[in-house]
Amino acid sequence: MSSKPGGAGRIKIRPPRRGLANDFMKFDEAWGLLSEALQQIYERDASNLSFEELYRTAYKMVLKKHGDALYNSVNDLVKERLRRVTATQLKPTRPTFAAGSSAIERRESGNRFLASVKQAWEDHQLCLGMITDILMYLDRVYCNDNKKPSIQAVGMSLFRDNVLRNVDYDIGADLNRVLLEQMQMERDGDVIDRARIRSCVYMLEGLYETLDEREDQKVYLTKFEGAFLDASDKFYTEEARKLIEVCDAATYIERTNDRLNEEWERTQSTISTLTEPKIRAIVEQRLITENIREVMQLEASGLNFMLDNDRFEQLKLLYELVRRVDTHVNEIRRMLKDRIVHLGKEINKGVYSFRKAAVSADASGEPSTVEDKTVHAETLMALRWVEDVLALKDKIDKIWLCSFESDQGVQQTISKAFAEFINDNRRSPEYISLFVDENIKKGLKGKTEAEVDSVLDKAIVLFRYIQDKDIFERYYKKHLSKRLILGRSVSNDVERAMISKFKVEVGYSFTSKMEGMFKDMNVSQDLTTEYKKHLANLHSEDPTIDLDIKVLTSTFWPWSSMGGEATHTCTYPTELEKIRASFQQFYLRRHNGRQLTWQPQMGTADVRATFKARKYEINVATYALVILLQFNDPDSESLTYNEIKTLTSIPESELIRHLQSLAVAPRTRVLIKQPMSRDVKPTDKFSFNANFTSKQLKFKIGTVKSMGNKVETDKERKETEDKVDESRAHLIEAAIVRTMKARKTLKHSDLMLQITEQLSKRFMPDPGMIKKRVESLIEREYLERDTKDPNTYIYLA
Amino acid sequence: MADAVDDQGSLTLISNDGFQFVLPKKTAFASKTIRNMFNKNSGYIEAKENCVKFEEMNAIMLEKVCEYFCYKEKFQGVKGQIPDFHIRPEMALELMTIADFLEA
Repeated sequence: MSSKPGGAGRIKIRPPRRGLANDFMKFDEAWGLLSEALQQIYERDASNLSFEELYRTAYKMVLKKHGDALYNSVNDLVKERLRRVTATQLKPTRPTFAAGSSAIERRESGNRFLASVKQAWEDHQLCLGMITDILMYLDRVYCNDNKKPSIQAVGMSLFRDNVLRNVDYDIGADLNRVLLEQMQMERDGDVIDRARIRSCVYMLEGLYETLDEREDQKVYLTKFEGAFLDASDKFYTEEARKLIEVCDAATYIERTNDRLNEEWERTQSTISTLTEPKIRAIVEQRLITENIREVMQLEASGLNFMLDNDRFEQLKLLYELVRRVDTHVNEIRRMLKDRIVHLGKEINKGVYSFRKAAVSADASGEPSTVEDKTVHAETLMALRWVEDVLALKDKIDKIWLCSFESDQGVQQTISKAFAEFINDNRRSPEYISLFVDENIKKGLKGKTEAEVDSVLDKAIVLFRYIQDKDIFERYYKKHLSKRLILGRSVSNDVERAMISKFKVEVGYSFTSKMEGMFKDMNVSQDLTTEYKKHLANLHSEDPTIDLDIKVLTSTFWPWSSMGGEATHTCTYPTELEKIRASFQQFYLRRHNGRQLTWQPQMGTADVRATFKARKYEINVATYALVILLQFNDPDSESLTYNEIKTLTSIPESELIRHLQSLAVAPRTRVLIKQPMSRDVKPTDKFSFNANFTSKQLKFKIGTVKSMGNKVETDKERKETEDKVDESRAHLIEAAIVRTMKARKTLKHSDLMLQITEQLSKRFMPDPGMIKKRVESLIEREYLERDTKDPNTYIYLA
Repeated sequence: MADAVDDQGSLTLISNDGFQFVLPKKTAFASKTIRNMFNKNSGYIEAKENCVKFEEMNAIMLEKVCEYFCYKEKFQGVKGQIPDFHIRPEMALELMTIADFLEA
């Protein structure tokens, strides 16, 4: 785009009509015209100026190579103008910052000053815009070609140097002071003219330190922001100190939140959004990071108070605040965990103190009855423990949902806390199993399916927390077996639902035995029906006894906890022996090679007994039936304990218990004992109580130690623990052999890790125990130590 | 600031030999120079009187300029075939200086 006509133009191309070379032009004259016009622009009186004329003049000056002179002259003129404005307009409004002046005075003087700065800035911008328009050609050609900054940029820097950094009056520093003062006023609750401050901030944002106008070189950033942040930092440090001194936690949190919102709003409406992250960081640092811990620990209103009193809103706010500075909210999680564990241990403590009392009562009172009572009470205690734990869980869950936005990390913490205190109570697996037992036995009656499900789900939640799942399994099996055999569960569906829930949680191996138990029950039912059919076919003349048999697979059922491994035998009276033999024959014919072991201690019988007054239907245990049948013979008036023992050959402990329930228990005294005392002695005589009466036609004689599921006594518990250890030893060995078979050689630490990982689903293996198992396996030559490295094991096939 | 320009209505362009050309403002604003003249904030005489007198252009040139404005407006943003804008060779050089002047 050369503006000079080419010398070698073709004939047909006419040169521009007025050759520029001929167009005579003097710089002074042209500048005179322009400077006059610029003055008029500054006076805001451009209506008589012709843009075309001015533009053309500037255009020509550039073409005539006067660009340089024009550029400098314009800049000088602008500079001169700005100096004058500073001296005449800004200087008079400079605020005094006198120490004695009141807040209102200061605000007013500050406002006046800001107004005049704003005015000066706006004037400057407008005029500079107009000048730029006129001198566009200068910008475009001269500045471009000579790599000079544009008129606009120079004008801005002139404003910066001649107004804000005027050598005579430090307007910039004043401005900073006034701005900060105004912000401070707003923080203190005063109303300030945000729009005016905003435009001054805009100005600072529009100015740059250097002519190339880099984004990070804004005067706002270099001069103002730092001061603002420093002031804010000081303010909030002080604020935090004050708040923590006088406020409770709730107020502190609210104020902090307000402050954060306030500062955010300030960055949006008053100062630059560029500052937003920085000021936020300051407030967060001072008000949250540095102090929130102290606030949460406040005794009367801190986190614990909020948790205890379900302050959802406050907790939510607190959570949001803490999450600003720490996405994992570790501080809250730590305290939450402590609190839950604390509350949980309180619940545990209830149990412990109860047990302690029970133990001391045990020592003083008569052992058997007191133990009985405490067992009963402790069962209630266990149920209450579970309910308390569930209540706590519900409460915490609600807080988690309402206040912690269902934060995954927080949930983990909650789980950990629950696991901690639940496992702290060594009896929790038993208690939880009892809770399920209790609910399935009676609690679920009249509840809808959904309600049943939710109760079971809760139990599962607690189950999840248990570390020693194998202990739970043991108890659950024990309780389940009693429910099944005694027909105590409300519905098979519920039982099955529960088991499938366990299956989901820990897999098939956990539930296979329980499922086997169910299968046995079903098979037994079929068997009973078939047996009855079989009897009918035989036209058996023994209709008086209706046999309901349960054949149980010995590996599925927890024999030991159901009554000891010792086989219970007794001499059955002829009536019973006949039918027993008949069934055994029937069964063995069907399943050749199986072995039936009779477990009379598990059974019950309905007996119709004729007393003097009337007939009663009595439900008794099989052993009791065997005893009663000894009195069926009208000849034998009375039998001594030893006689009964010989006749029935019932194990002694069982015999004593059943005799107690038949002859001692006040309401069901169908036998008379001589002498009348609580204890059964070998010399005691028993006879049939023909004068027995009862209000109920049908009643049940329980054994002294009821068959229901109760908390174990300490002795039983010890046994259970031994059993558990034993089965754990097997599991550990199995796991070691499995692992070693696959890996052939393995370092000790790796093996430990593997085993722990494999078994942690069921229980936490004790390292000492694993070591012992390894030793034992080495002894039995399944493994050997590497001769070079004793820390490595080798599998021996 | 440049946005404070109202591009509704029309304006008059006057050549140095007295010919007047009336154009929609929008069309004439193809020239940045003309656009600047009508900046409301500045309030130059051109904006007040809604006409511009070009002391350095005759009617022939100005007519061609106006033609070009229309041509530009018509085909701006059109894809595909755009007909050539014909300039007589003898006018070319002078038009070039004018284009420079008008920033069009």
